[in-house]
Amino acid sequence: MSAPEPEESEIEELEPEGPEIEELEATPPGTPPLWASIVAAIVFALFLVHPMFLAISDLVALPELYGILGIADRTPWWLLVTGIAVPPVAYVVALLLARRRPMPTRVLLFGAALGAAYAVQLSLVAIAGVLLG
Amino acid sequence: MATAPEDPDDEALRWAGDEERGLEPAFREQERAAPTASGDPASAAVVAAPAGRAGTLRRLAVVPFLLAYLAIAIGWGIGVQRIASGATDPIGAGLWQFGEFFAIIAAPLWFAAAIVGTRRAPLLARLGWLLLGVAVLLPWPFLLAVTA
Repeated sequence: MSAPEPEESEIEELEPEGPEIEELEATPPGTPPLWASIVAAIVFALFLVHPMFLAISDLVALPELYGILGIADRTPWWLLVTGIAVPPVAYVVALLLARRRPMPTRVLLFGAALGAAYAVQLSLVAIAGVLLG
Repeated sequence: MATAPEDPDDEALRWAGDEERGLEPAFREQERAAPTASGDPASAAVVAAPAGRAGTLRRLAVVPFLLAYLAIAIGWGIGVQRIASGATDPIGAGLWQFGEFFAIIAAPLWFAAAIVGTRRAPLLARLGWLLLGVAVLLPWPFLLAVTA
């Protein structure tokens, strides 16, 4: 026993409507292919590992140093936490802003995020040095 | 010798002062002519681009930020010489120098990204991103050394 064949009118209803799919799949001109977007995102994520590593190193080493100097209560935790937070925040913001943009703009946005991450990191090093006296 | 940009997308590549050197009229003429040249979506983008007094205001509003970002880049160029990495291994020292280099070019990168990224955004959005960049990229190593 087999299921009854659907009528022709039912088949037409089930068929996807072309224009809607075209609208969904439409991407702005110049948008790079998915694989290129993923490669760019991964490459810049790897670049941002270093400022993140610097921030984690500071988070581990600075409290110890302040402790040895007997000023553990003056540890600038806000600087250390900011240092940890900035690289991933900069990366995520760049990733969100880079969506549906051509590759040169994406590289520019990721480069600006990387530069900002390093600038903040070096600023925190300088400020921590001043706080240490 | 700089030439007039072929489309408004090249606006970010124009230099402040182009108007004074007589490039502004050609640029505007091209903006006006482009929508009638073809009916493709690119022409619609040209139509959406600011023109006339609004366009001039949009460009002039960026000039103070251009100077500020230039000063920030110079500040970082001087400032990075006042902080040491403490890295003893060559890889660590090399990565630190890489970071210093990116801190110096952060200001031009942010400026260019803000201009290109807000090409079709309202003027306030563009100024907001530029203002945020100034706040984030302040060259503290330089400022602290100067004020100490």
